[in-house]
Amino acid sequence: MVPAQVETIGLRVAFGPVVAVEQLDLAVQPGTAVALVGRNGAGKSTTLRVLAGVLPPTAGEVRIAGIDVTRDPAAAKAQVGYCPDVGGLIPRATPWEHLALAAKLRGLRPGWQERATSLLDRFDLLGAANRITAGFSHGMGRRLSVVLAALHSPTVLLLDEPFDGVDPLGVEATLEVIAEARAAGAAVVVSTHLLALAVACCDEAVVLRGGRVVGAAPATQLAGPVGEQHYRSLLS
Amino acid sequence: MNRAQLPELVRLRWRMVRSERVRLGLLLLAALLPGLLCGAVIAGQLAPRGASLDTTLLAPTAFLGFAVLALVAPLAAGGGNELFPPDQLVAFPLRPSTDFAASLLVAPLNLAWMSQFVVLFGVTSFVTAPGRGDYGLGLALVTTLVYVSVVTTAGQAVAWAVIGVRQRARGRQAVWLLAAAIAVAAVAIVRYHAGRAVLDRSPTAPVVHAVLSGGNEQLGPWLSCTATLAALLVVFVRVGNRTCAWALRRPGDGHRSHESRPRQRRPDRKGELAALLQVDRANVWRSAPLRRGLLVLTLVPGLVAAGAALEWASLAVVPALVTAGAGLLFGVNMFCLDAGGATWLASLPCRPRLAIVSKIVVLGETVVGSALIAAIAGSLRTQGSPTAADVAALLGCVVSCTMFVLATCARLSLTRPGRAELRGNRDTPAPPAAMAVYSIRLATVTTLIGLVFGQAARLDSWLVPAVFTTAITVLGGLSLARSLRRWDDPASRASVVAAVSSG
Repeated sequence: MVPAQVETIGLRVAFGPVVAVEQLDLAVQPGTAVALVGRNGAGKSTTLRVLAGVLPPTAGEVRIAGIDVTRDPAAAKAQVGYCPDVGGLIPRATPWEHLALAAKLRGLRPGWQERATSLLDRFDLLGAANRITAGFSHGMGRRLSVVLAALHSPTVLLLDEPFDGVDPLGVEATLEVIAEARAAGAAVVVSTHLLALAVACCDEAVVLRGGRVVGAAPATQLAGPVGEQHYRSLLS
Repeated sequence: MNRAQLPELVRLRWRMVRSERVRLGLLLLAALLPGLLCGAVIAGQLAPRGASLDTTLLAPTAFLGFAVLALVAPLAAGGGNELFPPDQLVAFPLRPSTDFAASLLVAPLNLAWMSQFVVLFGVTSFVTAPGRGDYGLGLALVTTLVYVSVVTTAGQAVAWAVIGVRQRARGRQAVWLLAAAIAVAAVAIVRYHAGRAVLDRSPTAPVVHAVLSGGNEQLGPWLSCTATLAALLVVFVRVGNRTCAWALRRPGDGHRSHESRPRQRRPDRKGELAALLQVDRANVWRSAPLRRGLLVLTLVPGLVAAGAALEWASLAVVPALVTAGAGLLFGVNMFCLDAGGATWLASLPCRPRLAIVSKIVVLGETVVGSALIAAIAGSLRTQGSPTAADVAALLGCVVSCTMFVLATCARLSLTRPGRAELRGNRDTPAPPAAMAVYSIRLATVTTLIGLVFGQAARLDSWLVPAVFTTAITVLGGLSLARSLRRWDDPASRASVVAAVSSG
């Protein structure tokens, strides 16, 4: 069996007395996409932050491409492309400066500029590449965050609310990026409240409630009115 | 309506202070001012009378100095002070008069304002000789209190008016022209030694006369001036309410044009640290409040020192004060520069220390740069050539204060992080009360360091300043090392990132 690119075993994240994630077991195979769905405060963003190496787990094991994120966080982060849930952008840096910084810190070879330009073009951000992001709309910021996550063609793509406030063309571009990443063998984890889009881009959906997994099923089972009814029953 | 809104805003701000230690510090700060005022009054009464005539002659200058401070401080801070950043209360139907009242409430949270207020009370007490009557001192203090209220209210009203004027390009040009004209006038006054003539015609002379009349229990002259001041206070409150309302409803054109302007691409840096430094430096220079703060910090203290023609040994106080101010620009919450981008940065595969080292280097550049410019400006009219001890004291003071500011700012940034956009003209890296506490912490120590180096310069040996510098640098270095170790802990790092990126 192919080893999972993303694997959590008994993941627990607590902020003092508040437990955000409890006993989360997750495995995402290469070339597949998993949607994390659930109500606000279910633990989706916290899980993605842990997978991205931004937040240390309180307990449990987390492996990215076989690398333990607590033991070798830099190596794990090198495999990951992460789009945070809110903001995610330095307010007085331009998109191009974000990309150049990412390229430098990720050690990308010369030539990254072509891919960066292509991604900016695809997300309709080329005209704004040299403007500071403080003046961006919410949707522009979301699109740029996806571009930054995809720049280095990561083996693990983590997208937290990538469709939030994004126009249809931006949604289309994001779906294309996810499809390309999967085709290249990357494992993709998408957190979203938009069930239809989760169904459209993912193989499996994991439903979280109160930091615990309350259901996991092929994404297609959550499609349509029947799937939505099933999803709502899991949320409550 | 205001009576209902303002207390609610204050209560909300108080509830947002989560740390018991910070709450205690704020309560102590609140108790400090009345305590210092009482101390100044008692000291003024008990002090020997030998120099009372000189003090009486200089009192109008002290009162004028306070008026200048009350006008300049809110302008230097980008306009009228605010209890909350404007974007945090957009959903609430706050009246402009509440905003103005809040700005008056926050105005005293300024170390310079508080210290000058204490000085004015001390001067009032000193020129009001004891034993002249039962209530003379009380009358004199009432006049001073009303005067302080009038000029503070006028300062906030002017600041709100300037905010309104600056909403448009022509208004901004007009404000710059006015500032330049004032600077030229100040330089001309100093250059042609007209300072004494100007001060002799100080408009505050009648106020001091009323203070003296009150002290002598001459009710007629005291009442006429104090009543006039009280009437002015009412007028400025009304004018302030109106200018605040006008400024808040006037559409702006500067903010967006600045943010939507394309920036020139810079060549890629070779190393990881150099790449981070490039972004952090741009983050500072592209922030309107930081640019304005740097300009004020580097020019005003240096020009004031040049005007006063300080002697070399006394010059050390200038960079000492400037370093504290530079730390307050963004250093006390240095990771707020990244705002929401902090989460993304934390996901990049580089050594975590690079992020904090980059911030410390940029803060160090800011602090040292402003201190040196202020010191050079201050030395323009210094008499004679400096001795080796003077130079050692001045440079030692810059190095020592910089190390202290860096160490304190790194510690505060890790223990008290918070979200701050530093986008609008009046944005600060921390809430108003916290900024007041931080300014006291920084300015008190850096001033002491400046005074110590000033005394060391008089010993006529470069060795003493060198020893002081080494000792303070080592202590600062140890504190910085502790902060770096704290940053190395992933949990501490994650809490800072969460605080600055999401509030």
